[in-house]
Amino acid sequence: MDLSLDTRAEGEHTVVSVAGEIDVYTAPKLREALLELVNAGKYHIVVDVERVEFLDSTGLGVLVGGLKRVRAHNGTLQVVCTQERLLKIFRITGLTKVFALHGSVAEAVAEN
Amino acid sequence: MSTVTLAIKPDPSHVRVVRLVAVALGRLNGIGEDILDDIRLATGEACGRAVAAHLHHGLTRPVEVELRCGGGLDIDVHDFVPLEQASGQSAVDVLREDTLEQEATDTAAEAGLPEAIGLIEGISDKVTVNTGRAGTTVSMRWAGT
Repeated sequence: MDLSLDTRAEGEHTVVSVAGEIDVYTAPKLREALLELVNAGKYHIVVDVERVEFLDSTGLGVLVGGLKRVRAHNGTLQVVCTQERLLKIFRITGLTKVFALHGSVAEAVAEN
Repeated sequence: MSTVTLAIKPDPSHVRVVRLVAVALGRLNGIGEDILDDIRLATGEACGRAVAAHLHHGLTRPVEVELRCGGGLDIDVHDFVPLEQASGQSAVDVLREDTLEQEATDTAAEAGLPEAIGLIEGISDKVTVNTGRAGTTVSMRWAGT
């Protein structure tokens, strides 16, 4: 399955809903989308991975890259994820300490 | 013991093929769904790393993967980038250095955490890494159910 992205505004936040597989092949598409947002001055990003079926370290690398870019502008990059198999990957790589992980988009948007 | 051997061209789109084969083989041999998730991820990590290494070093020959079933699942992923000879933790250090070098020079490949091997270690029962002039082999094992 390929990767599909849907971007929408929620107040000050931009929500990127991702569906499909984020891997070494598809991750560049997500990276480009995040880059475009930052270049357009969108520094508060919520990445919703609830409909993601597969995530590897390349995908995590893209999220880390996005986080670095928004932080350079005092922005935020939050992740919406409740799937245990994805949360496990965040835990193993220690990224639960790096990302704000939320149970819903509403929760993430209410954060700040 | 049944063995499946794959040779994939160094193209990120082909990594998915190996993931699918690994999961199908595991399922055929009665490995549980939760372990299949780990197999899918670890296989993707090992193949993605190997493909990225071939691309970075300009190798066009295929990455080779051997999958062996029988009392569990063993997967060996072999790339042909000549590196310093090492095994175990020293080999992992050699790979990390090579990955970091790729990240520093390949602007198109910002991603790919150098922790790919660490991630594999976290989700497989056993991992061994050997580097050398003939390339690198990452061997992963799952005991089964």
